[in-house]
Amino acid sequence: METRAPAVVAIVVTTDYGLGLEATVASLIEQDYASLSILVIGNGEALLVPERIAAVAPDVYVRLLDVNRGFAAACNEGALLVQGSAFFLFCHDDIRLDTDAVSIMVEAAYRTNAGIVTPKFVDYEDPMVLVHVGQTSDRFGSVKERIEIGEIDHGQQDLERDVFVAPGGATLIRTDLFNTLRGFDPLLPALGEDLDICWRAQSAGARIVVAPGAKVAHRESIARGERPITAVGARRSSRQSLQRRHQLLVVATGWGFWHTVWILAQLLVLDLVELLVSVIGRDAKRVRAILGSWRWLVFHRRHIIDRRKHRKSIGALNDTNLRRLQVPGVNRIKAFANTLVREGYDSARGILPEVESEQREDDRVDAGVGFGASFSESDEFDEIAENPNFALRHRPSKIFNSFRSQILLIGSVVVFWAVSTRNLISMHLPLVGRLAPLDSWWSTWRHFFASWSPNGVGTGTPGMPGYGVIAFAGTFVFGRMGTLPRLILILAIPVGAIGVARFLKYKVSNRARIIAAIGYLALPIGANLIAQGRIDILLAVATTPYIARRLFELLDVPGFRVKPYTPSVPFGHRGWRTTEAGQRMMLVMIVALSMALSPAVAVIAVLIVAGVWLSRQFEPDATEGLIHSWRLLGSVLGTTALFLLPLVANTLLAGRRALEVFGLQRGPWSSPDLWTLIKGADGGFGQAWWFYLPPLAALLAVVLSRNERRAIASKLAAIYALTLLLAILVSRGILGPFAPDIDVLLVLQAVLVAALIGVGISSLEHDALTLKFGLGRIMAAALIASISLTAIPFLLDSSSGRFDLPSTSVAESLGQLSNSPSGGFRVLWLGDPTVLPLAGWSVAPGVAAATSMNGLPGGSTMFAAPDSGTSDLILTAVRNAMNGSTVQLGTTLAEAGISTIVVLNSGAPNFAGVQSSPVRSAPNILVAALGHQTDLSLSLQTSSEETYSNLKFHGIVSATQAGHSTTPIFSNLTFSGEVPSSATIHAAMAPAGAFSLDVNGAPVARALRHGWGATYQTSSSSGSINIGTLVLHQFPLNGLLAGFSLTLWLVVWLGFGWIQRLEWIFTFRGSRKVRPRRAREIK
Amino acid sequence: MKSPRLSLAMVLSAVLLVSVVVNYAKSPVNPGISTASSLGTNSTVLYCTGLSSSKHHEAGLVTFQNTSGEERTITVSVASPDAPIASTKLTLKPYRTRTFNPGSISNGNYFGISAQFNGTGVIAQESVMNGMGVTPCIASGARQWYGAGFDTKVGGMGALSVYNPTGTPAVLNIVAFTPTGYVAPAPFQGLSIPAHAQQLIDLGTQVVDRADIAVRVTVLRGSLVIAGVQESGSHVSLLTQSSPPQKSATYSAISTAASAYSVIRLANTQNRDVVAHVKVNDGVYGTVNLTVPVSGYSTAEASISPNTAIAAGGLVSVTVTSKRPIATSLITGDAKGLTWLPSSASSSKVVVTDPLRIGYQSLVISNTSNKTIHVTETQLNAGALKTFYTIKAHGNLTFLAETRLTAPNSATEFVASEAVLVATMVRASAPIGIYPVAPLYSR
Repeated sequence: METRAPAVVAIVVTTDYGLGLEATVASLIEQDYASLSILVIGNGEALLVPERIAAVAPDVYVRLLDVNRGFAAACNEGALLVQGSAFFLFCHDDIRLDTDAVSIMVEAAYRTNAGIVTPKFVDYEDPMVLVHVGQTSDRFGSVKERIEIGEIDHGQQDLERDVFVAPGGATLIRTDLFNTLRGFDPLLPALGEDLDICWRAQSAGARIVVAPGAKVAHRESIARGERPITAVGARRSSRQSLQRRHQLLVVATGWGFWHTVWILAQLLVLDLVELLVSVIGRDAKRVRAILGSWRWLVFHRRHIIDRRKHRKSIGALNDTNLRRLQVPGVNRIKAFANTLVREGYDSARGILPEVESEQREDDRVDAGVGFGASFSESDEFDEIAENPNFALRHRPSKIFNSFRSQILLIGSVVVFWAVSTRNLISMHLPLVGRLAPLDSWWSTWRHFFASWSPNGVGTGTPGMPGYGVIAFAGTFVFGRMGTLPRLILILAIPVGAIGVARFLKYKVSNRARIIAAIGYLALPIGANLIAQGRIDILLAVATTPYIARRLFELLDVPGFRVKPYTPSVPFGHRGWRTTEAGQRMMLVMIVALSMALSPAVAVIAVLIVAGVWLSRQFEPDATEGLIHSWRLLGSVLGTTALFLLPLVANTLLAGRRALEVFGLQRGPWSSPDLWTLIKGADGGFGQAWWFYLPPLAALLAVVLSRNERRAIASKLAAIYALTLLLAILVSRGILGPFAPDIDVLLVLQAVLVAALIGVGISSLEHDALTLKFGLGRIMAAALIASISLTAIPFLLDSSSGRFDLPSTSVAESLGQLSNSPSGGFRVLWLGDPTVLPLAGWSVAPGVAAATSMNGLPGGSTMFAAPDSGTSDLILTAVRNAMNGSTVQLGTTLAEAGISTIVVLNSGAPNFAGVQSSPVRSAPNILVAALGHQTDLSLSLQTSSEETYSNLKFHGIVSATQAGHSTTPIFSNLTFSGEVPSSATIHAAMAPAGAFSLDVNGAPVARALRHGWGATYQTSSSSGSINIGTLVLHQFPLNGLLAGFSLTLWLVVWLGFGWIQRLEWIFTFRGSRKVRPRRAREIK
Repeated sequence: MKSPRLSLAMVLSAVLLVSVVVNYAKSPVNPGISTASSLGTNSTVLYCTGLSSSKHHEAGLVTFQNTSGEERTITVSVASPDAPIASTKLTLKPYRTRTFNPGSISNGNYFGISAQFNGTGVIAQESVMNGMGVTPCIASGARQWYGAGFDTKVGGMGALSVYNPTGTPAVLNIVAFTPTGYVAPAPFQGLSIPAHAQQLIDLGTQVVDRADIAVRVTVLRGSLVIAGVQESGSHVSLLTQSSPPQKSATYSAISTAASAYSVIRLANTQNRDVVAHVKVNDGVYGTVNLTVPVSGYSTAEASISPNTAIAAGGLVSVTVTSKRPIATSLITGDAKGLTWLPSSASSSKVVVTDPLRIGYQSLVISNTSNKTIHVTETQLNAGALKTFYTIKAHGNLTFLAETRLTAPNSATEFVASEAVLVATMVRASAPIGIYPVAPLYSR
């Protein structure tokens, strides 16, 4: 029958490997288009093709080529054989067309004046699943589907529209356009020829449309790897290589000159990054593909020149207009980011698909779906239909599940932390918090053993154990004491994060542990403590997770004691550490170590035990051999007290101030409120709303947890609630002098939140499987969102490289403090206890007082015994001034040798845009009271500090002669010098009995002054110079006490197997090797 | 039975609830500074300034009164711009008074006096015009001070006596408000007062020939004791207490006698116009309401006498209210001159005394609240006699002359359960009530 329809020649390129050839040809035969001819090209290795074609369509033309030069070359060959056709329909041999496909495509070509028409491709096995509905491309030739993988065809794509790429399979091309384009580029044997011809067609001004009415089922056997690529020039190349080099070719010839240079430069950068990632991931195949593609491009430079010339001759669109037809952005980066987030690094680095059917099959079996699957460790969650396309669609999103991705994550965090703390390594440490310059190693030991310390007006109380800890730590840095604060600033939080990970060991997955540890890093308390220079509490940041873990273990919380304790190993023998006593002693030593710097850690231990106890009242653990909580606590604290005997002695001596050992009362007006406490933000970091997310995640973890995770979460939640209650009670000043440092409580809170985040992740991995759709899943999604968003502010906050630790402090503005060349002087520091750069005592809520001697605070005033002793006179004087009872505070303080009063409102000056320090104002009434004093002169006033000079100051050591005013005497450093004759010498050094004045080597009689100071009356002597020295005479009781403590530490340390190890020293025999190396191996 | 988990959740929720309650139950406020310009009997130091010597006008005196049962030693230090600081010590026996003339130890013309006591219980008052003008000494320096009612017209002098009792050199700014707006003369900005020094700042040097001037003194550094000094005819008035802007001010006793001149001077220290409502309460003839608009940064006055709407012939109680705070003061007097009384914030304690034994014509104590209050009167002497009164809402308690309140060496304290008391005493005079005296207030 004669027809007026334009002639269409379908060119089917096949080889013997084409399993669907018969179906393809049969579907072409079945077409309702009247003027369709079929030409089958046997593209080398096609001996069976004629026979196969004859079996289904005897009338079809078959042309066999000797060599398989690829699909493109075969199509070109076929086109040369045909004359007079209006369209070519280039077909793969693994397709199946609907009967009306060709007619609809031709119709669309005429209706839209398109040069190229592509059909709607559906899955070969399941026509309900879309495969392609046209494609698009970015400027780098990276092709992007217009549909989601595995998208079901509901007709939602059935709209005729322009596309940039007509994917290969069944492509209708107008014959004249094909000729103008000089056909396919034979240099592209497979993968990418469709992009190339479409790009050139677009450049030539031709339209490319998709005709969704034409439905073609496509097996995509090459893309899926079901058949090999046998074309000449492609046999040794991987699909990845082919795709990369063909993209490069298209880009190198698809733009104007300058545009090409610019795009290729960008592409080079992208490839370099990918190369780096591939090298890290040891992906040799990808490395080869990247390098090979560029080498291939250079090798074919002449061909590129030829193509560019041809493009120029036929080009109708300029670069700008061509660019408009493409999608913006960089598809590769988008795909990488999406895959990294959804599926982890291992998948992400494979964004250029190297599809392996076996892998796909595995995934299909293991895959879950949705968020549950993304965190499913069991990999058996919610199996989905057998259809491989569904499997593809629901590939599991496994974030940081592989060892390699976890290592990469940890490495990234380490690098990030190094960058975030880079300035802490070398910057000048300001005088904030507890960053006063430490004394030398030897001097720090002396502070520990000292019989007298300069705190207040001087005290003979035992040296604080914190000095011992610092001096001992100084040994490991070879006495370079300046490095210790830096080490604590930089390492405390990471060590704590490792502790959090260890806390969760064996309880949750590695992934959950890592995320919990990162959460601990990201919580604001650590950054705030760095910003405020609180190295004393930073030590607690490092140790608290370990304390919590050991307490949980000793309390027999399920999951924490992995192995039973080793029975009956004698003290001092190897393996004693693994006994219950040894483990308890380990806990005691960690608690003692932390308490030496921050005694409030004892409160942490109490809270943990109390929380576990409370939780067990409602949800008892089924653990056998349960240790009584309170007995354990008593035992731990009691033993800790032995390790810290000097501190305990000081506390017992302190009387009503004993409770202040845990911390001084802050001003409620500058203490964090409940909501700030929940955010864990006691400082500049963490004030934004998104810091509610970590506690929210913790709450969700409590709700979502089941089974053994529930037991842990309940205990953590109970501890959290008690901690929060205590923190708010302290913050509001309700507990009076019992005011454990709020920051220490926030450290515990951070540990709990981080641990709960880990438990939450674990719950998602296990318990989310049991959740029904609805509230539970919403909460799970919220948990994931909370955890994910937590990292963002952390990243933002760390830009300074020092976590906003001020670079300057009040020290710079107080450089002139040494206003007395002789006699010595003291500086009285007043302000909120958290902003003072040295330790002191509480005067009133929000006011602590401390003194430094002869200038700024140093290593000798880092710790203060809770017993204020004689220094009470200073505190009382300040309190009287605040009450309005005196306007002569200077006169009173002059008796204590105080020359200057510094009132701090913040730890460091605030300079907008340069540095900020949390403002914790001193009470207004204090500032007003000082302003009303008749003998104080305000000498410096800024928003962060006020400095008053004492008009009545006369030195720590002074002399009064008849008819003369009181004048300072003696050197500031040695407290010795010339003594006037017939004078009364005043020495404001307490206790008076500890000092004697030797004049010319002979002691002078001493009398008490104001009940605490000493006065000495010198005799009259004419013509001779009297040299006097103030000498400390004190029995070294403190030293003995410190020595006892050190001995105790040493003995216990030897108990961890070292007695046995060092036995040979005393017995002159070699160590016995018959004993097992590890005691826990004893059966 | 509830599940264990639910029980635990309830307990933890309860703990969190307690935390929330604690968080909101106690509001964390940085304790402020007392704004009381004078204290009752608990000060250990008092400052008196504004006094002049007999070389200038007349000898201003300070009268100390020991309300305690123990002897007190007073260390007096007198500063003057014209003379070095002079000091002396006085002894004050229990329940006794002692008058001190600063000119007796200093050669200066104007004085700033610091009196330190070795214990509490001593009160001090400055007096001028032979005791007709009495004002309390001040317990502490201020960072901000307001005064309304200055006058620099020819023949008078409006000045500020500024005394720095502290060791810190002080710096202050002075802004003046007049009926036509505010002025901030450059010479009055950044004024420095050395430590322990006293200076007299004549407002007339910069705000020339103006009546009804109000001033705001802002102390930028340190703290100062400030007194307004107003010379008018033969009258010298002192204003030691600040008249801070407030939304309500009560004057318990204002003269409406036929020949008396009584005005309330109002100063709006903010930039928005405000309308003051002056409520004049004459116990016999009822209540008269006056409305006085006061432009931003300017002053105005409400005439109480002469005023045809107000019956002449006695003492009235006046309450000034406004939507925004304004500073007020009372100017009263006759053709011979005017005296001055600042507005006072309501207080819970009022101490009245007559150490110079001149005698009062009356004492009026007002209840500024909307409810009835109970007041306890206590004699601050050995007898410690207590008497109880009830004052109705916005009512007055009036004591006539020659009562026990003016007994020699006696001071009387009135204590209410809330800070709602305002008191005014008036000396015996003709016309009646033109010498009002501010009592001592404390909180």
